[in-house]
Amino acid sequence: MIDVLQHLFAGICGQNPDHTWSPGGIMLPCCQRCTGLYAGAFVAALLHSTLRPAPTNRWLWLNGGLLLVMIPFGFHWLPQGAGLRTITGVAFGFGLVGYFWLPLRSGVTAHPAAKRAFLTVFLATTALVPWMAAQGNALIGHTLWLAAAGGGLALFGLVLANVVLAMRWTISRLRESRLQKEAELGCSQ
Amino acid sequence: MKPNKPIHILFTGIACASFLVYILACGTSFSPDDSQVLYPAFDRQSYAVAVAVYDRAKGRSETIFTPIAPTETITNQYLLLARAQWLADGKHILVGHTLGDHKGIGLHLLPRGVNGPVRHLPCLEVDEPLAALELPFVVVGSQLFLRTAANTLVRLDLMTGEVFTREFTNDIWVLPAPDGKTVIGYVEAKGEKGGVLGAVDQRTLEFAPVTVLTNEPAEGTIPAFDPASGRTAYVYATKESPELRILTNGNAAVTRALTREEGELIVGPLLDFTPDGGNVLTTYRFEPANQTNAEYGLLEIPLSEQPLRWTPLFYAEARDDAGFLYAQASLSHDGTVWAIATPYLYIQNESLKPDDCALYLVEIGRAKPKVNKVPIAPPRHRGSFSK
Repeated sequence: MIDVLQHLFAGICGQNPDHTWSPGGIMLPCCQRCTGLYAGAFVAALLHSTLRPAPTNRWLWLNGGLLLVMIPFGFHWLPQGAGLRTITGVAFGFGLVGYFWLPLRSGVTAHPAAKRAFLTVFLATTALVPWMAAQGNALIGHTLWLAAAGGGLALFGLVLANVVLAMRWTISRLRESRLQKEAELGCSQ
Repeated sequence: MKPNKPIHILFTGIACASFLVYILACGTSFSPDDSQVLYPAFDRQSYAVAVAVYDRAKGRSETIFTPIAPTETITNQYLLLARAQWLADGKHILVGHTLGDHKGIGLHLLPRGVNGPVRHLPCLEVDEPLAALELPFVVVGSQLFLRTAANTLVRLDLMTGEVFTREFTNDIWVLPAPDGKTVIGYVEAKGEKGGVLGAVDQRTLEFAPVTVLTNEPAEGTIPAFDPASGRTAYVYATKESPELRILTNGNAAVTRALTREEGELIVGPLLDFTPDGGNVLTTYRFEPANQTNAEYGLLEIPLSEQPLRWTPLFYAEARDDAGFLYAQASLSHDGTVWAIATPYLYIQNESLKPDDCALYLVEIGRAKPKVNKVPIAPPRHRGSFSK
């Protein structure tokens, strides 16, 4: 199974072995940053589906900030080690899911105290994922690659859902525009 | 807050773009300087040994040079040995080959992609022509530094043909430095007691020692030295398994045991530091216990706790031959592709299948290196090199 994941992630990750965790001798299917990204995305997707935090302005800025954090680290403007790569990946994953989830939560009521719980889990994830990856435990290795696989699926699913929604929105707007034009033509005649 | 769809769509678009940029930035990149690979092959008309160029972008090969020896002096044309190497300007190719009488080597400088003559350089008398072509050429600017006898170095000007010779007390080898601007010398101590690595003065050919190896490197292996970082890598044979030892400025820094499951493991002969200095690359031959076929491939040795990475390339009977010595392994300048060619191995080892006579390009830097195999049409018959 991990061979299949390595093959799948090969298309979207450089898989630099020097920047790849290998807990318990199990080399994870993606690099340290991608491990953080996909594991973070997996946790973020679970949180969004259960807690449903409301997209306030502050919330949108926060998720945007998590995306922007990737710029100095992703382009190697700042020195970083294995832990920081993973942490920035987790932050990026949370930011991505935060934005991808927006069109999908239309009309859904937020869970009370969602934000506080969300932030607590986010901080715990940024600390936990690199700590787990640095352990020499094979069980943790399996857990992480499962989380990475889950995150990959979650992101893929979110992207697909957004594409479908965007197409539906575009079609409905085109239909409305056509009906409006027909109505105008009918009035003028 | 009521969701505002157009704004949310905008944020989703931002997320999409960010994700796309991230994925694109994660992918491997290839330097344009490494777009073409020189490798030994066979001329399709005569099956004489030849030099070919493989264009990685186009996926095509072109034979560019083939030395034909007088048939009075050589029985089979493919028993000559040829080595080709790019000069640093990327516009000239230096080709060396053994001569039919096995008393020297021929040297030619070919222009590539530029106007200019083919330079047929003075043939050099060499005690062991095969040995002279076993290692990469040491070229700095337009000067070639070559070992013509066990204790003799020659500097040949590739433009004017001027030759300067120096003899040494001990046996000496010359190796190229990773920066392409330094000439590394390795002087073997008498009695197989290690040796000294250092720099060779490019004008006087004087040897300046830098690092002493008190242990004798494993037989058939050659140490690697990077003057810029002061690091030395060599293989040491212990009773259990070979060990890679790294010295930094002469002090022991890293030792890694090279172990596999039960069987005989041979690594070398050449070692390459990757440009980031985090790994050492070499070829290996592993013969599992109670099996006749050995596994030949690339071994990546991380200089950290990361596990060893084995990339098998082909399987053949283990022979006490030169092994990978004539396979002319090389690493691309950007450190992402490692190349090896097996025509000489194919000639010497009858258990290699015709499919295994090929140029192998291994994309390293991935958890599972990707191997691209470019076939080389082999001659109908095989033989063995005669020194």
